[in-house]
Amino acid sequence: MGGRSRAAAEMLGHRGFEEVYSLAGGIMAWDGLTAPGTATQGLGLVSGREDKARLLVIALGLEAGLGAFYAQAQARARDQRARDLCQRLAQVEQRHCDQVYALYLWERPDGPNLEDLLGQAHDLMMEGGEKVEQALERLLPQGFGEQALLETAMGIEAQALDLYLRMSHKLAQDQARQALFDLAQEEKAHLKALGALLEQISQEAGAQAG
Amino acid sequence: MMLKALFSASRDLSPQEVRQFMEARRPDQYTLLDVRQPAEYKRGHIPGARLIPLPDLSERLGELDPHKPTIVY
Repeated sequence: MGGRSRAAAEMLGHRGFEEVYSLAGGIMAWDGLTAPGTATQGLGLVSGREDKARLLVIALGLEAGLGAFYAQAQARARDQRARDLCQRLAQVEQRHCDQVYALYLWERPDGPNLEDLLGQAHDLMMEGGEKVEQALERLLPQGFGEQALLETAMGIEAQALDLYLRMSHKLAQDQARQALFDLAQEEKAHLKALGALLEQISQEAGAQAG
Repeated sequence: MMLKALFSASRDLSPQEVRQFMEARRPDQYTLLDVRQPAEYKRGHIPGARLIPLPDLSERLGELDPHKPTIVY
């Protein structure tokens, strides 16, 4: 395992790359999060020529979609704890939306209000995007509990992080790329918080079982 | 010249070290490179990884920044 990564790392090192590392054991040894999907999945959302403002509208659509996902998930939750967590997650996405909108206004001081902009973003997302109901059906079965929700949420955040970073590789404009890196940082922090929460809940569950 | 070909040009990092490396940096400060085949990438990859399968790597090196630390898996 990891033979290919070692060979690739050696090639880069000998071809002038200054600092090269190889993941020991390759992906089989990786115990962190992964995201499924092809290298170009979701990249149809960007042409590569977007400026920062346009990019922020796309990000707004993604974050708002996640907010709607968690808000609507509440109705399928097993108990109050899971419902409360849905609400908390929806609030985090709401806060992301507000932050993205603030950045947008910085770029377009005379831009539309948040509601109108969300309308634009929504239309953009619905082209080829999965509807919230379908996503719920696929990702959260009726009567899901807190732990299942957290695991799903971490998977979703890992995918959002992955999408933002893959989008950044495609963008030509430096400022737009930087905006994506900032958003990716937010997702990273969010993921870490979710991981800590999952750890806490798993320990509680273990203590109850023992 | 021969010596350079013998010495290792890269270093192994454990998964733990890779996680720490990525946590300590912004994602624009390094390149995460997946050299497996597209079908393997599709099943699951580390978030933000770029895909260049090993057989294509030699001719696609120009897509990567040689000045950025690069982690390969």
